[in-house]
Amino acid sequence: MPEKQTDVLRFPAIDPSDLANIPELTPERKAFLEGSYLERSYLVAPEAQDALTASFSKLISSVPGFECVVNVEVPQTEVYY
Amino acid sequence: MEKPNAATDLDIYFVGCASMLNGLSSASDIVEREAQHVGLTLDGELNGKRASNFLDLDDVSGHTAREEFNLLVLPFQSAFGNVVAARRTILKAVITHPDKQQVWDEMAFYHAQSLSLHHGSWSPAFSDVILQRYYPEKVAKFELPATPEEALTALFTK
Repeated sequence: MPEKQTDVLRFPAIDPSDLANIPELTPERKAFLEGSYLERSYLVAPEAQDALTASFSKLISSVPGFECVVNVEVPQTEVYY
Repeated sequence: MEKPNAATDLDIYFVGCASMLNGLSSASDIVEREAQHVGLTLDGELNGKRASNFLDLDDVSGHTAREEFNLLVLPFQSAFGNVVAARRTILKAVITHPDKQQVWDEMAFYHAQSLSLHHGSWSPAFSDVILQRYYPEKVAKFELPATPEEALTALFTK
C-alpha cells in the first residue's frame, strides 16, 4: 500500500507592502495583521504545530479513508488586546 | 499597553472517504489527547466527531445536492494531509456539475467568510478599519480562482 501523501497547504505570507496604504495602522497593529496572515499558515500556534503535525500524520496513515484535517480557525490569530 | 493573549480552542474538521465515517469519534479522541499535550482544547462542536461536519469525498454529489458548500470548500482552507488529492476530487466533481459556476461561487463565498474570522477584539474604530480596509485586501489576496477550471489548473501547476 503506497504511503499517503501529506501536504500542508498554507496561505502565503502577506507582503507588508499590501498594508502600506492603511495609514491607521500603528507598528504594533501592523505587525499583528502581518502575523495573522503568517499564522493562517499554521493549523495551530507555531509551538504546537510540530506535535500536532506528527499526530495528524500518524492518524491519517492509520485510519482507513482518512485524508485531511482542516482547521479553519487558527488559535494563534485570536488575539485580544 | 497592547498585550497578546492567544486562545487555546482548536476547531477541526475531518475530510476522507466514506470508510472513515465509523472512525470519526476515535480519530477525534486521538487528536484531543495530542492537543491537550500542547495546551489546546478541542471545541465541543467542531471536533471532527459529528458526521454532519465531515466532508465525505465519496459523496461530493450528495454534499452538493444538500448545498453543503461550507464543507465542500474545506480542503481549500488550512489543511493537513493529502490535500491536493482532496482538492482534485472536489474540483472534478464541481466541473462536471450542470451548475458548476454557481456551485463554485457558493464555495468561494464560504471561503471568503472563513478569511474574516479571528482578527481579534479591537476598539470599535479599529474594528471598522479591519472590516473596511484590511478584510477586502485579505480576500483579494487569498480568494479562490474565479472558476473551478482555473483552480484545477492551479493545482497542477503547483
